[in-house]
Amino acid sequence: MKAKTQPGLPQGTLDLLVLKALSLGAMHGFGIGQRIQQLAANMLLVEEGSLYPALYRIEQKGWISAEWGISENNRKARFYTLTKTGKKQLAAEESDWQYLSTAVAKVLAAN
Amino acid sequence: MMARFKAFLQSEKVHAEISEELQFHIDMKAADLERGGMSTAEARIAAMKSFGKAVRIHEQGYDVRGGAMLEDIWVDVRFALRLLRRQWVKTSILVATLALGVGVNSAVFGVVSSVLLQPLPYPDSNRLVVLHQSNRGMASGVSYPHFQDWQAGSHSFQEMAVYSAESSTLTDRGDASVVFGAIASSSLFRVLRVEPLRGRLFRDEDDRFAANSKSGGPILISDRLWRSRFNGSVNIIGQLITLDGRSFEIIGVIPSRMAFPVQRDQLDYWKTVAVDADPALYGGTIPTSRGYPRYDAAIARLKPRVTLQQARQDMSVLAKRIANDHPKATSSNEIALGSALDEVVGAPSRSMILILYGAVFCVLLVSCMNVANLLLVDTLGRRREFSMRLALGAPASKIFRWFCRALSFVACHEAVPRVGAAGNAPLK
Repeated sequence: MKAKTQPGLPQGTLDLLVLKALSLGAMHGFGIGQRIQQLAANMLLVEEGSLYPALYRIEQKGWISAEWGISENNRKARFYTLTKTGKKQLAAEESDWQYLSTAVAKVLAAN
Repeated sequence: MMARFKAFLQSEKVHAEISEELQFHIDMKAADLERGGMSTAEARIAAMKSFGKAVRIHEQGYDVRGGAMLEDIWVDVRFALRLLRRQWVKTSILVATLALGVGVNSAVFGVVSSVLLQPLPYPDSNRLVVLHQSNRGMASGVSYPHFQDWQAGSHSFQEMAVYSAESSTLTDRGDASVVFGAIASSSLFRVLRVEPLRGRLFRDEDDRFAANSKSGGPILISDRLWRSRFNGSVNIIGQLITLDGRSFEIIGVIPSRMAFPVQRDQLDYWKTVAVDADPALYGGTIPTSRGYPRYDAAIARLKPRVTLQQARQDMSVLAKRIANDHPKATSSNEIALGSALDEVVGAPSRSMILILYGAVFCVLLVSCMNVANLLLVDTLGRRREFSMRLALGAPASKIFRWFCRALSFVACHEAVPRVGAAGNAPLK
């Protein structure tokens, strides 16, 4: 049940991206994928095969909650919202990521 | 776990929801591609393609959202049941073999636990010591003056008590019946550290005969007697009970787990030694007669850090002094001490029980071996089936799971007769 992310997208990063995308407002699965792609200026492609298992997993953890609603084109869609614990998790993962990426960048900058 | 269970119960709903969600995604993607210039049909095909693993996503989603695990268990259970039903002869042999081994084991363990592991239901019962007067190794009872000398002259014990078992005819409240009880010094309950359920225990003055008492004296009764004869009456304290035609005043109720200090009888009442001082009995000479070993034995609790050996030395010095002081009183001048636990079980029967348990344990091992052999043969016979399943893509972990589930089914079947056998265990 390992979520296969992009080649190069480290394990667990997708969770962080999903949480971040949802911090901008409730959205359905398709929209989340779109949103991440837009925010990354099309540098990242979120595969459906990873996105939905990730969504369900995060939902089980209680970081997001799901509710059926009506999409922008008037269709029934499952909308995900960031929960309170999800917000905390996002903050924690964000700072972890900053720390880690700064550290890795420092190492790689050595010549 | 709760969420998993809910997902299992509503598996239809969860499946439908996932399908709907994924369908929505495909539609949205197709519309997106169409806007990018594709024809409706092309866009639809492309969207489906990028979703090639829709079925897998669906299954994974269902896994994550819960249901799968329980559903798998349910499938395995049915599979195991089918298998066991088809091979019912083999199954019943397995069950019978295991049941025999485990059943006999639990039955004997019942004996081991009640006799060897918790023979005396008192706190720190390994510190309890039983004392007898003895003459060249022949143990006898204990006379009251000897007991008093021991109590006053020994240095090894916190508390000491004498006791004697007896039985009486109970004549009030219902049919006359024989009840078993004990005559003991008031210190007995301090030695055993037993607290009353109701009322109070004996006090030291209860050991002295009160000639002007309106009754035969104070008495403690067991919880069992209180419930059966007095219907658990709340104002039991102060009521009278008639034993052998004499009435005694109930001062307290003792938990039924308090068996007799040493033998494992069920006792229903305790009187104090005051009853032996009644002038109607040998002119009231029992408390002062050194030649009459009125009591079965004395029981005492060792002081902390005093060993049985030290207590023996202490008592042998004391025995010589008493013999010097009263040379003509009795020939039983020595004092024999033993641990109360040994007195209950007795060293020979202890090793007998352990040997029995060892033998029974071997029976269990043999039956386990038989079962293992049977299963091995069975598995070898199914080798083709397993290679077929593996070839068709069954994960090895799943096959392993089938094994375990089928086995635990046998084990469950086996548990039923085992409980039956253990229920019939003696002493329980």
